[in-house]
Amino acid sequence: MNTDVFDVDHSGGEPPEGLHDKMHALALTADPGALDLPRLSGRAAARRRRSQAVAASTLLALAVGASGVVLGVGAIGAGGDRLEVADSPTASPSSRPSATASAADPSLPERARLRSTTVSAFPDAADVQEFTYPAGPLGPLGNPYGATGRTLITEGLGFDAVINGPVSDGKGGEYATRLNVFWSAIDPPLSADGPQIDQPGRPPRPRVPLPESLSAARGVRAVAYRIVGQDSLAVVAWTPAGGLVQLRVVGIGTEANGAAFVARTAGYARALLGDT
Amino acid sequence: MRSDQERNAFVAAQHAPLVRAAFLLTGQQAAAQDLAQETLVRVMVKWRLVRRAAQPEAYVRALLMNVFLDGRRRRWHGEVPSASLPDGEHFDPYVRPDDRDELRRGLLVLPARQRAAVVLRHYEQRSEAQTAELLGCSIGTVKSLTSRGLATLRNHMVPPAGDPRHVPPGRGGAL
Repeated sequence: MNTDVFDVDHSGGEPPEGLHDKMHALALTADPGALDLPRLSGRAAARRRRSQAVAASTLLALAVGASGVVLGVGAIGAGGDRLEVADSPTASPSSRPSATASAADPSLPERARLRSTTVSAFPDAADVQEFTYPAGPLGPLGNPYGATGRTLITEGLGFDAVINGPVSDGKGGEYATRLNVFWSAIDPPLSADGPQIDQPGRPPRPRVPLPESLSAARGVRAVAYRIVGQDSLAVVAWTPAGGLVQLRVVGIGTEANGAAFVARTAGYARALLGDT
Repeated sequence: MRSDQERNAFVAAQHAPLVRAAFLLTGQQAAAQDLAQETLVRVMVKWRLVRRAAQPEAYVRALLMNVFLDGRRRRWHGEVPSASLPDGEHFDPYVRPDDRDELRRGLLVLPARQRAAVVLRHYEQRSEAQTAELLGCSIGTVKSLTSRGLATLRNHMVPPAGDPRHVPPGRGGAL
């Protein structure tokens, strides 16, 4: 047996002595754990429904281009990324461009199309302010497109609905699609009659950690997992400034594109709030 | 309804073998369970195809390898914003390294496709043709992947001279 990794034996090589037995012994150390058939069935059913919904949203997916989007919904904890107020005022409902219209206008820059898609995806939200992140590092994403979105308010909890541009994998043209949900409690509760998000030159608004214990965090994670299924990964992070829970839903290619995906994510976020 | 029962029985029968194979691929208990469960979800989603397959069990193995290799390709594996996860992998420092641990670590050194090929050939004892079909590549590629994997594994696992576990060549137990 040639042991030089650079000198390949194309006969396939003789198996080292006892390899199968050793692999078998190693495999037997794995604990299969309990098989939760109802849960698996539920996930499979959700997956089928999702596929059908994605198929139905093909036209909407075109609104944000074929290369993918990254979406986040959430509130950024103090000490995290700062938001910058957009140059332009919040669009009124009557002035919101539709996703279809933006898709039909290829001359719109990518960020403008993403922004209009976000706005049209949350027509009923109690949004208070449009904002943009500067292009460059954005939280864990490091998104070169920056982000655009709007703040949503629900019973004292703040969300920032964010859509980012595509993230290249650095290998030339292939795009990954990710979706993030952040949220944290904000105290005092946000209202529509004052500054809602941190502004340059003003002290940051205090955040209430949510949740406050590791066991609670595990609970949130379990809820997130149950809601979005296997395609997701919920991560809980803790900072001195407060709790931050991220729900990450991973989609690849066109599955995760489009306003339908945006709306679905908003549904996840609201369901999480309802359960926690 | 009968189809559901048949499907559930099939899934239940595949569960433990899948977790064990997945453990060889991932080297981590939790990741192995996740990998197996994701595979089983796909089995349920594609049950009609699985049921009609000439070799349903081989179809499931192909799904397992696809899930494993697809997961390795996704960039989000490298994108973990949290410094501390509530249920991350735990290493027991008091566990003495033994052959199994050495093999586990050796497997983790291999690139994903080499690892998949080695597991299929030498754990599942699939033929080269079967392995090629499951991995969606040529037999020549399987030979190359397996050979490179075994060579790397052997180099990784042979105790260095001077190590009390070192066995001189020709006296067996060279792995």
